[in-house]
Amino acid sequence: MSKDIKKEFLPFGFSELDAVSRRFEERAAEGWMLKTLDTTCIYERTLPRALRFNVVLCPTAEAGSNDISEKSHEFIRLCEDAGWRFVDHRGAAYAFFTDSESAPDIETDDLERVNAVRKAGKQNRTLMTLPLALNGLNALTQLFALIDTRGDVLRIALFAFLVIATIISLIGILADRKRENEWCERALESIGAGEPIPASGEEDLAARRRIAVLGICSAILLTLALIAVIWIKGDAPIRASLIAAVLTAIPVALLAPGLARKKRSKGKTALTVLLIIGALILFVVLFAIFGSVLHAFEEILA
Amino acid sequence: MPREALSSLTEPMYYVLLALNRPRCGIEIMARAEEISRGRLRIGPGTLYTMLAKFEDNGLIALVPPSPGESGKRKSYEMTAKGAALLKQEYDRLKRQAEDGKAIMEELT
Repeated sequence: MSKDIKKEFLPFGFSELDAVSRRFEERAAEGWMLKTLDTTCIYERTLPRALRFNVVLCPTAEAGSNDISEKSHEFIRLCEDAGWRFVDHRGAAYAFFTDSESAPDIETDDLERVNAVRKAGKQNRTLMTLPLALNGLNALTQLFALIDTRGDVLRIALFAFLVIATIISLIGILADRKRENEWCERALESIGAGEPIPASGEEDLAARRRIAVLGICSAILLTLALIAVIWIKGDAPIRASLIAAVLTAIPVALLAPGLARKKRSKGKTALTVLLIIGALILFVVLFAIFGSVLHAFEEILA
Repeated sequence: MPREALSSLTEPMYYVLLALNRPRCGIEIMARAEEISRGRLRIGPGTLYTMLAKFEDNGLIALVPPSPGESGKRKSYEMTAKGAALLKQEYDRLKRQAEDGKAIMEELT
């Protein structure tokens, strides 16, 4: 990585936008200007500047979409007319900055802020429910297959993997909803008392980071456990599939996020199709190679 | 009792409608609302955007069609008859509230 570029792992929810804004202000004062807003934010080296940041929920953004609609462009234009400059967005969270002390904050109605957080949080969780439901259905399918095959170890491992993954995802969604509800309740209490909404702070970001790290570690451990069982209990073709799958997943995991961030266009669709076809071809080629190697290896050992 | 959707106005909504006594674009509305309230009320662009969308959905304001050759200009809005009626209703309500409290405030001071 160039010394003029810096990355920061910064998972955040919609109730932590204040804390995220303050973080970007600190970075700007240190000489790092936000360039890309994502779970891993990217900064560019610049002169240290005293800037104000507002990370807000765009009322017209579609949950889970990286495209900026015409209405969202209007929203950006209005904010820019008021002295703010748009940097980037992650889903519905849009990041702006200004060097003007007099520019009004982008959101000045606390009740609307609470409503926006509730609405965006609900949309996000609805999106997250679909892969969860698919996982659950898959687990059920494996359960029925298990009953048929009566204790096939590989099926047990796969079933256990899917069940645990579903439970972890569900816990994540419920924990997210709990944090958001707690923030909304505190915010509404403050509004009722005529006080400003208490701003989220570093401790909220730290808690979110801990949860994210826990989730990632659980996913890695779970996947490694599944791979280990498949390797131990599988035969040459299954092991070859496993190696091919892991080696195919690596370039896909590296390329997919960059592709997902592109604007919706014919070019993006073409690249996505190319990536899928490329991954399939790579998987088949690697499967053929490792299948032959492992088969030959087994014969030698036999 | 919960307020019915836009049957009465919050303070920022009231001032935004006041600012729309003539057609204005977003940044002009913000500046005019601040001017009318003598600097007391500053409405953020995000809040204004949501408010204008709500007003438009409820028929209180309407988009001013751009003149030929002005397609690149900022969007302007004007108050509709329904918006003017609601503004008048809110003004009368606030006036009655002030009058109701006048005698008591005079006793206290």
